Amino acid sequence: MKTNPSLRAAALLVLASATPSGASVAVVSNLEQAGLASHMLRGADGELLPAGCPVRLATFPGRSTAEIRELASAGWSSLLDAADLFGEPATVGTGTGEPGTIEFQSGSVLTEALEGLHVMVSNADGSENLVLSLPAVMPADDLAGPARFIAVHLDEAAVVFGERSEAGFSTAVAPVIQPSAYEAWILGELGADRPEIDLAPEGDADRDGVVNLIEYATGSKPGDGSSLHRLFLRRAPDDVIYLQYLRRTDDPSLAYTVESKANGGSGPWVVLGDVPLAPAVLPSPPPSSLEWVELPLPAVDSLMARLRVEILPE
Amino acid sequence: MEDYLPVLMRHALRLLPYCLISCLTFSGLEGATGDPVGYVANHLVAGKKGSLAVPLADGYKKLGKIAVSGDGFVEFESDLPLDLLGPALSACLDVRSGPGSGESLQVTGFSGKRVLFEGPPMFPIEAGTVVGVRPNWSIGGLFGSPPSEEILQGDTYQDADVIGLLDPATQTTREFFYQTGEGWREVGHEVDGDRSATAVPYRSAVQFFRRRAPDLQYFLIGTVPMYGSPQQWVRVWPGRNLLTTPFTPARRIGDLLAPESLNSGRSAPRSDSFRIVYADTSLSRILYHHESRGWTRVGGGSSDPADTPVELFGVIDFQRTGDGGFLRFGTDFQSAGAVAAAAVAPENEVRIQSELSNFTTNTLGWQSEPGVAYQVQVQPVGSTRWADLGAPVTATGTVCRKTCRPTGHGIFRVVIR
Repeated sequence: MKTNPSLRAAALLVLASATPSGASVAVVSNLEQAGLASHMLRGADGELLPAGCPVRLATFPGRSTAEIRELASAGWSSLLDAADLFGEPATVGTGTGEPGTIEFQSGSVLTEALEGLHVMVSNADGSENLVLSLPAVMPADDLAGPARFIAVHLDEAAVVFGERSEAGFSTAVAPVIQPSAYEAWILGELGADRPEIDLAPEGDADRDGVVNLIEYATGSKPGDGSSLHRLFLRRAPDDVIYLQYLRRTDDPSLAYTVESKANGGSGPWVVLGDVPLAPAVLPSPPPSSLEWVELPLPAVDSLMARLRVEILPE
Repeated sequence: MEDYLPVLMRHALRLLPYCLISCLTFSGLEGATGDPVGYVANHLVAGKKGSLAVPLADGYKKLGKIAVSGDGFVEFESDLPLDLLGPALSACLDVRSGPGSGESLQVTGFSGKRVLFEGPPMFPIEAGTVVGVRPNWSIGGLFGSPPSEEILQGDTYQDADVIGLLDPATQTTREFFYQTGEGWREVGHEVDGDRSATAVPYRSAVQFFRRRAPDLQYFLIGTVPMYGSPQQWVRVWPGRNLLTTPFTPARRIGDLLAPESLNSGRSAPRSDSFRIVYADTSLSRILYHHESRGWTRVGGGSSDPADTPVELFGVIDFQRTGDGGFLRFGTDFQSAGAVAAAAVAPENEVRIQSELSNFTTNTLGWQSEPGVAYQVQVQPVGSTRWADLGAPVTATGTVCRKTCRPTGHGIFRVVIR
């Protein structure tokens, strides 16, 4: 559920016109000083970032540097969502019109001094990010007069996410987060416009009493209440009773567990540890990407059994 | 006349300096109160945090040539008055001739004929230089104690108008309000008592938060420091400085501030940078002088940054990088094309004397002859005509006074009627 960075920047530009004139202002620049190292903004490929790439000032209250780095690695949208944005948006080329450079002012009303200011930069499509920490402290607004402004050069900045070299600062590629197999399946079945609760593994979009994860794991339809998977029992010639169920063959993150307990008993559910096998007799032909398996149940007069499915962490 | 006034108002800001120059030509520099006495009305917007320009000053306590000069001191030819520092115990020393003309320095002490000042000056002060010493405003002197009715008092600062004074030397700001029934108090230090004598150093601007409606018209009377110099040097300290700009014919920043006096680098953080605080509390974008591109506006823009407008007397929120120093403001009326009118002082003019006046209560004073009628006149901004202000007053003694509160901006004079 990512937001197009350019659309987001456009929306914030509208808000910028309403910024009070009495706001505390930060000026941020990376324009070159003679004889000093470059502080140009570059992409991961080493090329100067083109004019128009989004730039924001922000703080991340309560978050460690490692957490900010993790957010940056999750993408520009994650940064924007987690950041406490400061002032108006800017872009590469603001104040200069030239790629790789910035010089802009941005302001917000402050009732308390503000520390932990960061500069966030992204490439045009939000796939690469740069996060720099600024040592500046924004003083709180005075009681009586215009708020102060500070001016900070990026030569004072420390890299939180991205790279620094003699050529300047470079963005780093934010790994593309592929949706999990479950996420791809549920979006394919229900579409992205459904409420988040209906899309969750523990949700029950069709209100048939079977949660989405079980529907996924056993091959039924999450949006169709009449589509239900049943557990089957097979009595073998030796009177051993087998529990039969469908399981996916294309998602190793799923863990299927059969548990049992005495019928009507109040004891705990006990995991049946036998490895499920392909049944000798299939209840029906399995759908694509699914297979039938069976597991022997304990030899007692009666018991209760259930199938539990979990998504294993990566 | 009805057709004429609107034109005057439109050109008001541009024309006042000419009037002041004209006045200077007939007032001269010989007396201790040679500068014209002016009036300004500042508009403070309710609910907004603004800055109050303080372009008018108290009169000189001492004005004359320097007999001896040295490192951090000058000596006059005669003794100094004991009240040289005024109620705020703070004064400034104006250099009024020579290469440093237009430079103001903070007085640090005095004794006999000698005045100590905070150095070093921009230019050495040679013997023979004309120098004036004038007390700085105090809070009570500037706003009154108690202040005028229009200024909001309160039991706490949260109910009152709040003024702020930035000390650029220490980069600290102190805030004050008038506590009802008590006096001027410093926010957070109310128990420490009266603060009406706190100095408001010349060339600094006062931060002013007009708490609530209605807007406040703040009226100030004082002398208009006219150095007869094409430039004024204003001291700045590292960090933030809130400056009242000198009177100037300049209407754009490129004409007001000399780039040579600025630290210019290749970016805003590596240069002196500033913004202009306008009377309506709006702010210009931040400006600086780039070492190769010249005047530069942070964030860019289509118009020439040098054309950023400045007001007749405005406030500059200035950030100094590196060491302190002096800014040079252009006040060259002649080269700006404003040839001063050949004003001739009427033979019946009587000089307004700051030592006989009370600027805090808007009262003008002059030496008089009993039984003679005197007329206070004003020359509003942009006008070349003098207009009577109220009825004449007939003196009953050797000093005559009149409280005046005209509207707008302009200068006063008194003539025998």
